[in-house]
Amino acid sequence: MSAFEREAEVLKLARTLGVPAAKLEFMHRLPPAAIRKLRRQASASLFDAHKKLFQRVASASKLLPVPLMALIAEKAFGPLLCARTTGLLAPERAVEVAKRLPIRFLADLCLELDPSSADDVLVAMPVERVVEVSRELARRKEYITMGRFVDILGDEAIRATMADLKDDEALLRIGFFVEDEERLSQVIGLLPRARLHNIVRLAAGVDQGGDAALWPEALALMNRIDEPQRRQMATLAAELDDAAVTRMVESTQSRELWPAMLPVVSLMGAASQRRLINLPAVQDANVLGAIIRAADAAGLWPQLLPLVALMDNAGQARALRVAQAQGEAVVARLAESLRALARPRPVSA
Amino acid sequence: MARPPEETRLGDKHVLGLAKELGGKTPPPLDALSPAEIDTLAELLRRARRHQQEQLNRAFEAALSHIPTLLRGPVRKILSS
Repeated sequence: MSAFEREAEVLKLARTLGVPAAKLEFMHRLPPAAIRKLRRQASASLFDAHKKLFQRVASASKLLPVPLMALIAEKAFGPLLCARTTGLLAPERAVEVAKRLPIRFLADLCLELDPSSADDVLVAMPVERVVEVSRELARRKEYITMGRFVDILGDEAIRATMADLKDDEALLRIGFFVEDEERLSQVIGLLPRARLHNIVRLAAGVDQGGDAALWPEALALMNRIDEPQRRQMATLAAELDDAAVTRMVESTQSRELWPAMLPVVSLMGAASQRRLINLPAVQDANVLGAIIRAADAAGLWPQLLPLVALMDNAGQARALRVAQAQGEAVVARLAESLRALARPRPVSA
Repeated sequence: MARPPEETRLGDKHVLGLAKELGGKTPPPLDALSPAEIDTLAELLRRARRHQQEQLNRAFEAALSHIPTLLRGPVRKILSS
């Protein structure tokens, strides 16, 4: 969903510019792709501003033995200069230097590093080192940085990092900042089913004292991954009890997230859909109103109408009244969508 | 005739100011932003560059004041033009 993407992009731009995200509130009016392009341009211009110095450091460092280089990197250059220079070093040399640097320093360096500028170095980094640095970044809750590295690191490093990172909330929040949706789907595919189950339970507030505060993040994740993984997560959510599903509904309603929720519900099994759509929390007139408004605004009638068909008679009558209350234009679009669904589809050969 | 999106408001002095801060690169279409907001972006970028310069200067000073005498030669060699 573009609202989630936009939020993630604004946070990342704020990080690049070194300002609080509140200073960039106005950027929420731009599409996520524009914010992303601007961030990449800003990042490149910051690099280019002192490119000669970075190249000089990289070239001169070839003359120094690795232990001395590591010492100078930590004690003199600091994380910013090292981050800007990393991608200019030969990967094997960068790895040798990194092996001698403290984890704390490498984590500082990661905060300043544009991972796409140092992909050869990151791919060559030993998995154990990646795991150790990730652990430190997770301890600091540096989820933006971690999400950006997911785009670059290989499967082995990602799998080991996820196994080491026991905190499912952290995983969910990191997923929010992963840029490449194809990579995000692949990474979700690397998670064992039990882990994915735990993430969905966490998002739905199971074992969290009834708080589904992370459901918006889970919805954002589900809307960015491929359909097989999305269906798997939707199914796991559908398997939760009524109380948990009600919490998802309430969270969706309070954050106005029905445009993100309807595509997820549409992938649940029919029995789960029937249970969800007939829950008292959904049959509330305000909630039905929000769902219908979302379907109408986002062109999600094909996802909503099959759900309406699963409502009991009283529910269908209520939904119709709510739609009528939203005006003739809404009812007309609803009717047109119904006719489109009823039209016989061409039989494929 | 409609202009291609990439060229939107390129003639605008505020967008040109931002493009300058971006090293001459054409920013994405920013029609949803006011001139003052585009100026703010340019200013934030300017400050980020200045901050980076200050950090690099500090790295240089740190190189000379925090490392053993033995290392000062190599560090000076690397950081000075």
